[in-house]
Formats: sequence, structure tokens, C-alpha cells
Amino acid sequence: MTVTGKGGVRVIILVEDQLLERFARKALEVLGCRTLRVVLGRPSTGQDSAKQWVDLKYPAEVKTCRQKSHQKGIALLVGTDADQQTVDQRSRTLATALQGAKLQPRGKDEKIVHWIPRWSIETWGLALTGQSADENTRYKNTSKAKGIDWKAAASAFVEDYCKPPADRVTSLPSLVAAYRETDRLT
Amino acid sequence: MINHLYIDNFRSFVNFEWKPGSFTLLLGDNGAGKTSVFDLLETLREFITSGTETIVAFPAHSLTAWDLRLEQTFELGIQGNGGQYAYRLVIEHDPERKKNRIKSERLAQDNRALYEYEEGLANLWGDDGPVRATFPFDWSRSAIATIPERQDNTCLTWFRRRMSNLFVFSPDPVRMTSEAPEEAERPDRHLYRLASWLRHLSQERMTLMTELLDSLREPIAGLKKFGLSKSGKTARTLEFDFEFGHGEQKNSGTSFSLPLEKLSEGQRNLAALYTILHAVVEEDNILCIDEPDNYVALREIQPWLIALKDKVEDRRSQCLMISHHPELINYLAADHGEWFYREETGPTRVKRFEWNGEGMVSAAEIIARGWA
Repeated sequence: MTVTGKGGVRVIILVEDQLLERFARKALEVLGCRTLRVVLGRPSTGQDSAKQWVDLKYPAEVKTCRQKSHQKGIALLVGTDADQQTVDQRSRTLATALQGAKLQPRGKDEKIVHWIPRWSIETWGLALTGQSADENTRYKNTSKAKGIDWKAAASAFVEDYCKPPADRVTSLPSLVAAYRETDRLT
Repeated sequence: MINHLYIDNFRSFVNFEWKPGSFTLLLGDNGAGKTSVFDLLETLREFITSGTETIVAFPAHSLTAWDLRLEQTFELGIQGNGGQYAYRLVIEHDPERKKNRIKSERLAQDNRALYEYEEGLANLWGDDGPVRATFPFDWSRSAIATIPERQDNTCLTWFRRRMSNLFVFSPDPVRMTSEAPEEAERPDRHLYRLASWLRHLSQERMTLMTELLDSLREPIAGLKKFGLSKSGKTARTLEFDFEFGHGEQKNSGTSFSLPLEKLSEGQRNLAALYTILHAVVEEDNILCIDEPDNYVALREIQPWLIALKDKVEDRRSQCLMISHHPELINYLAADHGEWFYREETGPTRVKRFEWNGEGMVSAAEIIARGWA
């Protein structure tokens, strides 16, 4: 399935871990976008270090994305877990990172997309593959999350996204927020 | 997949134990022993599947230089076929007679013996348990390589087949030739005979050639198709056809052909890397690849790496990779990095590659600064 309107968009993916990266790449592929580059290089240890790494890289990637905005269809997708925060709180942290770098806040029409699963991408993986999941439970490194078919999850994400909001299968707030964010890729 | 490796008294390995994952990036300074791991796996493959003689497989100079013992021990753990295989080989050296021989060799699945060799006698167990045969055998090579496949020894022959599905590559595009005098069923380590391997693959796996062409069109600009053209009575030449993007220019055609040797080293290596991706990464196969990034343009490394990693996961294959390239290190090190090291000129050791987030320095930068 290819979603019209997003074909030809070339996306730079900035993510905090490989599961998010794989999900994002597969979902973008189904959406008809092309992954231009994956920016992944988080430290292997240290509490919240992966998140801090995304926050550190985010302003530079936004700046580059804006500089290249004359090239048609360049987009930035940021994938980061909300963990104990809400999606809004995590998004505000990213906004603060822009402010700290003296950059303009993200404009409404900018192709800068935030996918912020709560607690983590495993929550989306379970929900999208028809398993019970809620945003108050941590599924990372659980046996339940180990068997997630990420390709199927990515396809289900796009399938659900393409439906009218009232018909969507999932009601997870972080997924609903991600669907709104995905509109920016058009 | 290989999930256990023990090496004692071989090159820089003394009492060395390692548990690789399904996708592992071997990191470390030069001389740390990374390539020696691949050399040993390749040697064990030939020893177990082709019956290579001990004097060829484990020559005296393969003994650890500073170790005075004359015994080498190798253990290999492989998970698959519904269980855990354990293979153990002890080689005994006799420096005065410049000879060596098998002291003992053993294969078991889930602690159930399948094969044992000691004191010149081989014992063979069937799938159902009891000893099926006891026979004298040569001290200088493995009888496992000679045992015919039968309905009652599928556990043993599965192991041998799995070992034959272990591929070690160190692609060297400088010496890859265009000529394919015959089909090569098995690729050579450096892929000098890439053309001959592709000649075989083109006969055996037609869809693979289409997949390969699709993959190469993106990184090799203007590539229209490739194939093997007749260049002698039985010989073939691997040629790549290109579209000429400026065909409207005076005195120029619209297309041209180049043999493999006339492509750049980077393009040749890309042809090799994508052939490996499409031909080797399959269920039950083990891929070991040493510095795949040589000669390849920076922007072409990540797409191949991502495709490889996806396929290894999708097909439940196994990939062990050696690289010093920042592109590979930064992409893989956090989740898959294993650091090989030696203290001074001491034995090789391995640990998970870890670095903390302080300063937010990348994995490659940590290695470049000598902080690993």
C-alpha cells in the first residue's frame, strides 16, 4: 500500500534506538517515503543518555533540514520514547532544545515530524499487532514485546493512519498524536 | 547460530571464550584478533566438511607464540535443529617430528553424544541414542567429513551442513576479475572469482539476478543491466551495460558496456556486497564479513548495511562483521558492538563495547581517541 501525497518525500530519521529506527523506516516505506539517512549513534549506557543524545542532535538536524528546504520533499522524523513523560512534555523538551540553540520553534507546516511513543515503541508494536497494550505499562525488554512483528506493526500503523479518525482501531493517545504528526509529511 | 566459541593456544587466543549474537560487530585495534576469529571459523568449516588434514588446518605456527603447551583446544556451540550443538576438538602437536594429530574430537546435541574420536577410534551414535558404529580412523582428519547422510544420522549431518553454510568474506575489489572460465558453486573469501560465482548463481537462482540488478541500479549511476557474455568456447565475461546520460551530444552513443574490471573499485565492491546480501543471507547461513566498507562511497554504506541488517533479522540468519569505519560503528556499536583487545602483547580478550553518554561523543570518536 502506498499513500498518495507522501510519495517522493525523502526523510532523515533521527532516533534513539534501533527498534524505533526499524519501525520508522518500515512505516515510511509503506507511506511511500524514502529514507534518505538514519542518524543513530546513541551511547550504549547511561541513564537517559539516548534521549539526551536525540535532544543534542535535534537542533542541528532541524537547522540542516530548514537549510535544505529548497530541495523539494526533505523531511525530518524524530523518534524518541516518552518514557515516564507525556507526549506533550517530551515534545516540549525538543522545543526547548531548539530554543537553546536560538532556533525558531517548529512551524505548523514544517516537515518536522515527532513520533513519540509512550512508554516506548513496544507499546505501539503490541497495540498495532492486535495485542493488549496501554500507556501506563512498561513493555521494553518484556517477553510479551519480544515477539512483535515490526513489519506488520509498521503496515498496521499506516493502514490505521489512512482511515478516517473515527474509524481508527487504536485510541492510544501517543499513537493518535503520531497520526497528527504524520500529516506533516504531505 | 554460533552462540559459543572457545579457543585455547591458537595465535593470540589463550583460554578465550566468546558468545556472539545474531548480529555482531567485532571492534578493536589492529592485531587484537578479530580476523583470526574468522580464520579459525573458516578453518573449522573446512576441517569438518572437507576433511582438511590437521597439519594444513592447524600448522605449528598457529600455536600461541609464548605458550609452551603443545595442545590446542577449540569449542563451538551452535543453536539450531531444535537444540544446542557442542563441538570440541583437541589437536596435539609434536614439534620434533613436525607433525600434529587429533587428540580428541566430540560432537553432541543437548549433551547427547553424536560422535566421539579418541585414541584412533571413532564412535558414531544414531539419532535415536545407542552407538551405531565403532571404527578405526585416521588421526589426521575428521571422520565427520566422510560420514554419508542417512535417515538415522540427521542430527550429525545437520551440523555438518550448517558448518558448510558458514561463509567468510574479505572482499578485495582490486583483484576481482571479469572472466568466468567456469561456474563457481562456492564463493571465494576475497571474491576474486565474483564473476564465476555469479555465473553459477545466474543458473541456479534466476530471481536473485533481478533482485541484484534492482539493488545495484541505485548506487551505480546509469546501470541498465548486467550479464555474462560469451568470451571463449566455454568462458564468460561479466559485463555491465550503462545508459549514457548525455546521448544528445555530438559523436556519442546512448549506451555502453564495461567488464567488471573496468568499473571502479567501489563499484566492484558494491556488486560484491549486494551479491552477498542476496545470495548468502538466508536462514541457517552464517555470514562473516571483514571490512566490507573498503572503497565504498560514504553515502552508499548505510543503505547496504540497513538492507543487510533487515535481511539477517527477517531470515533469522547470523552476521558477524568486522569494521573500523565510523559509519558502521556509529550505527551498530550501541546494540551489537563487541570489543576485542589485548593488554600489551597478552592474549586476546573480548567484552561488550560500552561507553557512557558523558560529553555525547560518538562511538567512533571514543574508539578514535583510544578510550574504548
